[in-house]
Amino acid sequence: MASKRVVRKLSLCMILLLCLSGCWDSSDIEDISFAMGFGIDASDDEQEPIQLTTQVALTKKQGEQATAQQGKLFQNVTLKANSIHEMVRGLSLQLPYPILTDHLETVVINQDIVTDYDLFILLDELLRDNITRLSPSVVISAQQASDILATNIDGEITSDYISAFFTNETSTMKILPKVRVGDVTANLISGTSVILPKITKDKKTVKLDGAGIIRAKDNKLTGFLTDKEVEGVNWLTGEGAGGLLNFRDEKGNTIIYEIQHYKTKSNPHYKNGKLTFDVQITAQGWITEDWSLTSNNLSEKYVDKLERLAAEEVVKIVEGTMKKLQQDYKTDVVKFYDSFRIAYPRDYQKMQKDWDNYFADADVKYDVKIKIVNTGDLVKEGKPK
Amino acid sequence: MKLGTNQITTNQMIALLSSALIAVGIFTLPRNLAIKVGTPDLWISTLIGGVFSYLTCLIIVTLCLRFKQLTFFQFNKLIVGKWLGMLLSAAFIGYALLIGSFEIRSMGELTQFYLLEDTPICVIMISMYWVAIYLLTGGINPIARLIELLTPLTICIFILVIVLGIKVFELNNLRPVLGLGISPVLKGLTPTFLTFSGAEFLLVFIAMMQKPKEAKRVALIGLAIPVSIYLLAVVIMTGGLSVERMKHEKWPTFALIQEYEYRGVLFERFESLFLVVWLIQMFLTYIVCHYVAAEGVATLTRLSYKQASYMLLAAVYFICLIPSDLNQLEKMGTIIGWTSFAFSFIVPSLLLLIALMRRLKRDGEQESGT
Repeated sequence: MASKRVVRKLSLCMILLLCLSGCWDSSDIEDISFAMGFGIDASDDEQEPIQLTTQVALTKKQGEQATAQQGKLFQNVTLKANSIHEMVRGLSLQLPYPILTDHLETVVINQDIVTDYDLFILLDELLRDNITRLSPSVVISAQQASDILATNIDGEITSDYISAFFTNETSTMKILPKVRVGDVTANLISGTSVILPKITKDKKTVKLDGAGIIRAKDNKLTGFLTDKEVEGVNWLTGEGAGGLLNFRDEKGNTIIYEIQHYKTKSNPHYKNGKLTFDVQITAQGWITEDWSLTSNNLSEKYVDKLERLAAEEVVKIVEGTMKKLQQDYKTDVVKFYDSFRIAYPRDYQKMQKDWDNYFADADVKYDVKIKIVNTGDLVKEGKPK
Repeated sequence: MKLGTNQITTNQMIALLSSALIAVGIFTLPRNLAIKVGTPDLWISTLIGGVFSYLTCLIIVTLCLRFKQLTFFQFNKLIVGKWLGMLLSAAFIGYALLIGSFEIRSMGELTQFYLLEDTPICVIMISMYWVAIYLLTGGINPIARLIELLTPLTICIFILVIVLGIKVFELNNLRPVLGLGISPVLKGLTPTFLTFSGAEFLLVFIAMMQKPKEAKRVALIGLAIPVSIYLLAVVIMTGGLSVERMKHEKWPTFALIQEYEYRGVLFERFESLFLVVWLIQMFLTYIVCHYVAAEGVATLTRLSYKQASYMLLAAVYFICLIPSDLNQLEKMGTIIGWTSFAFSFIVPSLLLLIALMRRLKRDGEQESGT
């Protein structure tokens, strides 16, 4: 009797096991195409005006032969259609494994498409989707996005390579902080202009080179900044993570100042419809290169002089950037709206819609203080030759 | 009344109250609040809402302590008479069922959207029901012990995942404080208060406490935990996403977690971790609601508590199928919020007032039972 009961219980357990056998949504990792990057271009076809290049990582199983042939770790598929999601689904006709955008690293946007289309429209699908995250970086390019993504760098997947550039933030001021999809959304929603890092293909590699500006008025591209101007943007936002300042002393000797950390504060004043900003920049750093032979870097006077010269150079850089932003592009990409919103919340509510114009007419004054805390290991005595 | 099997300790009570409060609100509150307030002062609304909830809790506690060891279903008859009392009890049962079904449905919808796209929603919900009924038939003791076991763990993970959002935090998004004056903050009080629904279940649970005298402490700590979690979430979300974006994200909490990524630690992304913990919390909230409803039905009718639990299972399933899409589900949430306001503030205050005027008081020691 007892054994019969045991058998009955055991078989019941076995039947119950059947219920545990699987999950509706399971999919094997080998059978998934991981999309690493998207490139959005304009196409000539009127019916299908958008062209999407998807960079898919070649997982081991599929990739072994390919790797042996040309050392390529990715596969690019370019499709045309009039909606983004249609193109993503169109991949199913070319790739046997379903696409997963969970691991997207970079979205490259070509300049032509973003002159024709509202950036918000281009990103709509990514934001609505339940899988795509908000952390991929967004970059703009003057060349075709498909060309950028097709760049084959040994042992690298281009999208991942581009996204990794932004970890270099600490070493140069010419690099903008990473702009995530989420950041762009924040700008688009609050109606402020967006600055996007620009990526350029250079022979067999890609590099960061300046930035592109999307104006708030219609979310379309207005123009580009050079990398020198990007330096100015970083000085003005205070969002850079350090880098170099290259200036000359009065005899024309090159001197390099390395910024350890710096802080920017823009204080807005708004009276009788007149908008002014007092920008205070304070930096602390080292001298890392000094070409002059006569300098005595132990002397306080000499260091003071360098500090003054460095500050003048910073003012020159930011003034150059500001001139371009205010006069040519009329877009606030240096986040002055933030300090104004905090100081004059009521006025900002009225001016928000038209902010870029107010920004363009604002007077800006600069107050730069550069501190040199260390002149490096080398001591020059300062004797003229 | 069976002593020993039906009593819960103070700690269990605290855990029970806080998990009843942490529910779907963690996903819906930020957006509702951002739309209503519109300035970065969301956190002040949350704080004031929390304090107000505590005051209503004090009313409930004072009321319950006048009728020792009697649940809401039993003592309302003593105050307002048999028929009106019946009506109140029935409404309370209906409300508990509504809130329970709402939580389960929201849980199903979110799970389907973010985790299990191809799994039918009824499978997600029914599997939850089955586990729940297995626990529910055991009575209050196993429920309280499970909640005591799971709550600290889930709360720790909640805090961890939200605090990791520091990576995208910008203090400027939280400024200026009170830039447009106090009026936006006051507008935010309604959604906040509606989110803190769940405190009214104290009406039933205080009767089961081992040491009812500590009920005030329970209300304080049991509210402080969820309120501080909501507060933390709102502060980090405002800093990380900015108010403008919170208005435009369907589920800002999820957007925040999707926004950051950590490399080189055990996990790089935290969505799944957060969802799992949140599922546990939803489950606990549901259990509490269902228990209250079943207890009510058992008190009002001749059914035993077990029979009532099984029967309500069907009722809950039907209720949660009523909303046909997400917008209707959200409307259901608003209705629940207002009902909650009635049961946590209006009804207890009126009952307390009548009880005070009629000098009604009952000591559980003298006589027990209905």
